[in-house]
Amino acid sequence: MSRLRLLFLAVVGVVLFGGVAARLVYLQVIDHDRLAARVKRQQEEQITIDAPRGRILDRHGVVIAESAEAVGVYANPREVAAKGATARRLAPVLNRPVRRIARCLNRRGSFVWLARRLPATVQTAVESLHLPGIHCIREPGRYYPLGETFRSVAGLVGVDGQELEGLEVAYDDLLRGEPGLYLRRRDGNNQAVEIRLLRAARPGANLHLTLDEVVQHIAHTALADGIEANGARGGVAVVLDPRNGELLAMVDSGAPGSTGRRADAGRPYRSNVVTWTYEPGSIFKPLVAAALLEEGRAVPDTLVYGEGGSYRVADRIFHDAAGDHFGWLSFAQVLQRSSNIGMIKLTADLPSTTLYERLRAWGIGKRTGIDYPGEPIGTFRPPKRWSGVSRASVSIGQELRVTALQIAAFYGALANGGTLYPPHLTHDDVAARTVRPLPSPRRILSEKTCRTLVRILEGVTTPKGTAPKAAVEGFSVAGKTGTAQQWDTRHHCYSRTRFVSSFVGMVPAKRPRIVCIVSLDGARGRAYGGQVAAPIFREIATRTLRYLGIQPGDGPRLLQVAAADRPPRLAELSQ
Amino acid sequence: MQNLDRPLFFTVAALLFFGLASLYSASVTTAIRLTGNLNYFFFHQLIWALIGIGVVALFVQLNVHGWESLAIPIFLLCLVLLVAILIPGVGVEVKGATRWLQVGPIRFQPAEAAKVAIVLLLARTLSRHPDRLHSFRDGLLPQLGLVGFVVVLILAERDLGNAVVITLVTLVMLFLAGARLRHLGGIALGCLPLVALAIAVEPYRVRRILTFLHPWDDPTDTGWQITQSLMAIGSGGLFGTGVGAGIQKRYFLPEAHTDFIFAVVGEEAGLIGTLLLLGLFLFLAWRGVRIARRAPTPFAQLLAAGATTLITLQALLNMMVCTSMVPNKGLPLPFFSAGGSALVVDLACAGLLLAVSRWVAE
Repeated sequence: MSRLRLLFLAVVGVVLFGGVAARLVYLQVIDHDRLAARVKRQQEEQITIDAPRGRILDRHGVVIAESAEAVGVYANPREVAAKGATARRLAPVLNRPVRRIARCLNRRGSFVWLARRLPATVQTAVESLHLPGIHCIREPGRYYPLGETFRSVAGLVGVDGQELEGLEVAYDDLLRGEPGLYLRRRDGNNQAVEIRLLRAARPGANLHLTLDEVVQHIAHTALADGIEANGARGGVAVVLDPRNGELLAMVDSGAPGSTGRRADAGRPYRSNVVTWTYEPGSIFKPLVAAALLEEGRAVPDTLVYGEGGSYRVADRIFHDAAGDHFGWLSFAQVLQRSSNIGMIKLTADLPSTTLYERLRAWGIGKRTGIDYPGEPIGTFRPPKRWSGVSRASVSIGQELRVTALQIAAFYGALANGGTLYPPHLTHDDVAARTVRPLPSPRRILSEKTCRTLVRILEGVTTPKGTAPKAAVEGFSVAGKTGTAQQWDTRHHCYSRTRFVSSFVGMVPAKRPRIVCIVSLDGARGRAYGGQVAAPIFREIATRTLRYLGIQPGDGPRLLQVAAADRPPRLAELSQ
Repeated sequence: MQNLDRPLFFTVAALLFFGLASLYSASVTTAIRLTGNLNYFFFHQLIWALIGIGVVALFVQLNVHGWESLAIPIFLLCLVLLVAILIPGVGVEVKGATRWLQVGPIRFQPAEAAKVAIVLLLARTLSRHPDRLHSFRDGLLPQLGLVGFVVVLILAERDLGNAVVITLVTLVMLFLAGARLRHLGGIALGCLPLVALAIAVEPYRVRRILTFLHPWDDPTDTGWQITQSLMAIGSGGLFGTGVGAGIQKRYFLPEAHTDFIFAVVGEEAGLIGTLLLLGLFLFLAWRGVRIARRAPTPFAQLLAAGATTLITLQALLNMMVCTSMVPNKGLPLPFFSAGGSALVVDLACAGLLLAVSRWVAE
């Protein structure tokens, strides 16, 4: 064996070893950062896990919406051999049709949801079946324990925790909190190797509403019963505290404003109280009357001739309600007996711009600013687009569309001596912090006008007025009826068969504690507001006054409610 | 233990120990996936290691002259096994390659044994007639004919790695035995078309070479294995993630427990670990060369040199594959990669070296 050759090979070997060593130094020291970053990119990901969502509570802390852990069930169809049998066994546990589960199991891919947001107890039931390829995962669920009563107010949260409708949207920033941030390291099979907390979740804050569970329930029940009794398409009712604009109840039922077409079946988790606009009809007359009083165009005793029930303005003949053929009426009687002709004639001298600007200043054609998404402005055309009959039409609540909240807010101002508060669902500081700030309260009417008008409107609920059925035993009620023909978009005229029947009132009339508006769309037959809406108002007002502990007789007495001292629950208020 | 080359003995012991430890860490994921038992590969390797240690003890006892007379029978036995494996129904197919013989629970790869057999055979024939080597026809051609036949058989098993190793070891031994450089250069040139043919008949070998040139062009498909290996080694840095704490072996790095176990060492033990491993092989090579130089007979010299080359060459090639210095050939890392036949053969080589070292001391 050649020693020289052996030496030569040894040198070659040393060179090769040196080459590998140099390569290792390059990879593990010089190129380390780049390669380590690549490894990090393929192994690590940041995942967010939503914080527990805050609760929505009524003014006394009763839970309207809360989050709790739920269970989602999913399948890996590739792991499911006996698809039919699996579907049959799962169906009763998941409470889903067998065919639907089978369809999911026959999909391609390795992941398909079978059911989501089931109660946490479903997990043990599913796991006890020992079905291959069927898996459970914990996820946050949202529960609305009071159900239908608060459905449209509370709104909705989607299956993946995103807010969809209602207050859940409006106060999402507050309710959602801050999601937790985790670092997840995975292996090549996407299995978690390590999960490390980077930033802890900040739980969402609770949202305290001005709504009162009991008043809400009273209003909801009365409205739903009234809609059913009158065969109406739907309706809304609002109870607000005129002293500050707090909403005590805000309910809707059915589908007011729908044309019966499928496309506008409405959005069940969005409140029609906020979104439904309609021609108000006679409940609008007190606004016009207030303008006349403020402008000094009329006093309660101002007389006007009723023209025997029909009166021509430009190319349109206006009528009073069927059977009313009024002669001379006072301004007060025009309102109390709801004479269209009296109102039109009293307004005839009022300049259109004056009328328009007054009404605008009082919130017609503007958003009230309620802390709830999707509020429209309604419809209120400026005078330059008015025709010859427009002033007459506006004076009796036609040619314009309002929301129940706009009307309620004005009556609230009337009730409290002239200050317009934006209706709202939560206390101002919460709204100011998270949503847009509420508009500031502002004086819109003189106290004298308010006193005068309220005294006149007390006459509406007397036997001589249009709404004796709105009277509440032991209290004086000031209010106004409205029976508004709705514009028929198909025939381009006012419908003779479809009305919005309304009553809006305040009680006790001397120092009102609640303002309540009830509007029903499409009530059957002679759908006078005094016949249809007034009894619903009375039901709501009677029970709410009793619940709030307001005594009839010598004016209002405030029941002091300490925070810990809850008012009586609904069940305790036996009818 | 008497008269053994102790540094070599302890080096081999250290390599075996670190090899088993690394294998345990690197094979857990695959073991669970394939068998559900996380110790599966480790236990198998442990059993083969014990067999290998038995082989070492046996080899050390045998007289070197005994090996000289056994060289030809062992070679013929290997030849028979290599041919037998190609008969349908005899060989066991794993991952598209038929390389194994199964006897009861024991699965054995004749190509691994062929490597030692060739070293023994060449040591014997080259040392018997050193003068003939100067003639191409009388000296080189018969040797090349035998080795070439074995290489063709191994290539028929689609085992490029072992064919390359045997070819290189043969060239090294011819070189050391004194073959003319002119002849060796001619052989090397003659091999080139054969290599080209071997690559051309298997499309995957072409892809491997292309991937070797541009591994980052397609890191999610053909470049996956080599880029994952580079990422594992590179991310280890100076000190590594700690033994057992690597993530790359968990389904990112294919063959983490066999051909790419060096990448796992790189990730978990860092530059410290890889250089230590490199140093152990270098030390082993140095001891081997030292023994070869001091061996009293030409046969013992060539045997020691061949055995040393066999281990060192495989280690170097494997580490160069893992660090993307040469294209992937599918070679295990001696003492580290999972695989019983390879481990026993590695230990057998070490046993032969130790046997020679014992004789050196006498």
